[in-house]
Amino acid sequence: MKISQKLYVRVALSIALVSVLVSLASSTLSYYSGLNEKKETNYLLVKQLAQTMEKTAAISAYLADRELSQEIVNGLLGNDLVKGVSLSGEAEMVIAQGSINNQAERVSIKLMHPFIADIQVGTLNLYPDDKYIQEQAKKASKKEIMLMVLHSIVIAFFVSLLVHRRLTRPIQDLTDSFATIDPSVPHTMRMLTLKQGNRDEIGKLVTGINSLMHELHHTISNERALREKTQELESKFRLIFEQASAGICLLDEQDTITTYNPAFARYFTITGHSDMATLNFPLLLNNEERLQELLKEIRRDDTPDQITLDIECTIGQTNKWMHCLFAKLADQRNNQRETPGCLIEVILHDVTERTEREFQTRFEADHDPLTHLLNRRAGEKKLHKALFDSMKNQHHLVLMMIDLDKFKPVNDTFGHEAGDKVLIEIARRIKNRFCLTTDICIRWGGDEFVVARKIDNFEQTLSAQQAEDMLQDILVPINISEYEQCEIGASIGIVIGPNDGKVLHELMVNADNTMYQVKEKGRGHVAFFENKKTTNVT
Amino acid sequence: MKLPHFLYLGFALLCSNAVSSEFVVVVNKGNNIEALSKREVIDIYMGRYMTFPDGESAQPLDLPAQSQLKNDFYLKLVNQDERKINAYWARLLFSGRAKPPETVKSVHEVLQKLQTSEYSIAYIPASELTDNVKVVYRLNEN
Repeated sequence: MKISQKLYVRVALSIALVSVLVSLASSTLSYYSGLNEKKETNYLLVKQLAQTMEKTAAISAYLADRELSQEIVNGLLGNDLVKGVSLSGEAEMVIAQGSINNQAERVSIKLMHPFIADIQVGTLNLYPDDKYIQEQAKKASKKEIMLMVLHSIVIAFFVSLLVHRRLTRPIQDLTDSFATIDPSVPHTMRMLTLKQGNRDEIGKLVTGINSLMHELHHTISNERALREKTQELESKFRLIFEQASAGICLLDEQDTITTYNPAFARYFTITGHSDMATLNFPLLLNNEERLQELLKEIRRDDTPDQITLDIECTIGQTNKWMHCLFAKLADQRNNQRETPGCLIEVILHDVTERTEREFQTRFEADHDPLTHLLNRRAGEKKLHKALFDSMKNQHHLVLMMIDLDKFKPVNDTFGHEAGDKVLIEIARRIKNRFCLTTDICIRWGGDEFVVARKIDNFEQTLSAQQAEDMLQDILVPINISEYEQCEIGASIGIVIGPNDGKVLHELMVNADNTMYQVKEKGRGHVAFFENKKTTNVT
Repeated sequence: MKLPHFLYLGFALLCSNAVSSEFVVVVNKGNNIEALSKREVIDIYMGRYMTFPDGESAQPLDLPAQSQLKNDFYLKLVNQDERKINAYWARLLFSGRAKPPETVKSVHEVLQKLQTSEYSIAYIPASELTDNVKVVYRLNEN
């Protein structure tokens, strides 16, 4: 059985049920108590009935008058309350009529002698009619129950009516009104219109809901507008972020990349791979340890917020140069963070071409275009520095001035191209014997070369041997074409800085002089500078 | 000397009513009954028995209604006045088989009736007692 879900029906049903139950219970109780009461009353009534007949009965008993006795018995039996009567008198007279079995409830009256006191002449026994009494009680109870049930039903009806009118219908209206509201559609959040002008709880509830809704509507509208604005802004920023040609990424405290844009991914993805090799930023670039140090330094409070740096990196097989801008990010909305600037934004773009061009330009500025040795200007600068360093560190700078012998005839005989070839080959041999990064190899001019090496302790024999080896290298014939080759000699003057000159100019002059002395002494050998005279070691 | 004084008082009271305080129940001289108990007298006068103890039917005689003597007699016999006795008989009038005693006009007539009727029984004040009747019960004050 489906019971209606409506509140007022359920309230009414519950009230009716409870009241019917209560009235049934109370009726049962009242029936039993009423039965007892009735019994007692009736017993009393029977007793009174007997007492009214006592005198006459006593006379009839005294006279042993059967007719009179019969009349009395009949008269008593005519009463509804009496079921049986027995009357005994003088001369063994006993008149009994009706049911006289119930000895327990009988009403017995001693009949006394009408004229002589203290002499009993007989007994009058009345037996009350229990069934009749019970029926009476039942009838009374039935009536009571009917009344009570009727009462309950009427009360339940009116209570439910009242509940319906005063409570459930307004609530139903409220619910219906509420159901039309969809928080995702703000214009449905209008005021609840309930013709509930009264100031009861429901009225207050409606007022409360309305004010809440008004506030909510306001808030939601604001929020919505704000969100739209934010979305617009976000899409703009996203566009900037994603379409940027520069790679952008964010690093957390562990130098791990948390966010990056497509350009960044493009930079660091090896062609043919779909993902970047690692998300650990320093590992992506060359020189990982230095970068880690750098990042640590950037995070320190006292460093400037931004640092730019060109960093080399190897992606797959290709070398790239990245111009990186590191910026500490302090969350603007959350300045009181305990570790400010722990996030680092990196903006980088590929500067390989520019860097290479720069290298090229610098190289071209510092080097002789033909031999790719340092030119005189750059060489002098380096020599200055090297001499200064060796003086400071108490080292020695061994400087060889190498001048090719009989180079001009080669130029004249085989042409400039052949001369250039000779110079290139000699430079190659110098580069072979010396190290371009630690030693300073200069094309001093025309067919003159200067080679300088820093050494901790000067040993003449060792340096002489090196110079001799160099000389032998130069002496090896040079192919100038498929069919022709030529031999070139060299004169080498060696000076030791700072012993032979504390300034470069002095040193160079001495070197020059030593070399010229070699030339004067027949070319093709090595000589060390000696104060006022040149010593020929070979 | 206390008792004579008491008797004197009672006598004086009764004398003031001009009625003897003592009743005797009498029968015809020829009746076999020599004496009756108070109960037997009551039974006969109140209609219980219509016979003497020896089985002869009794015919009780009553003094006129509303007479001082009748009232006194019943007061003495059953301690009830004449009104109550009338009510008693009225109760039995329609259903009872008992009948009230026959009423005669005076004590004198009573005595006459007793002489002629062998089975009559009557009460008279002791002062009016004659030798023509037999006393079977003496109704004292107590």
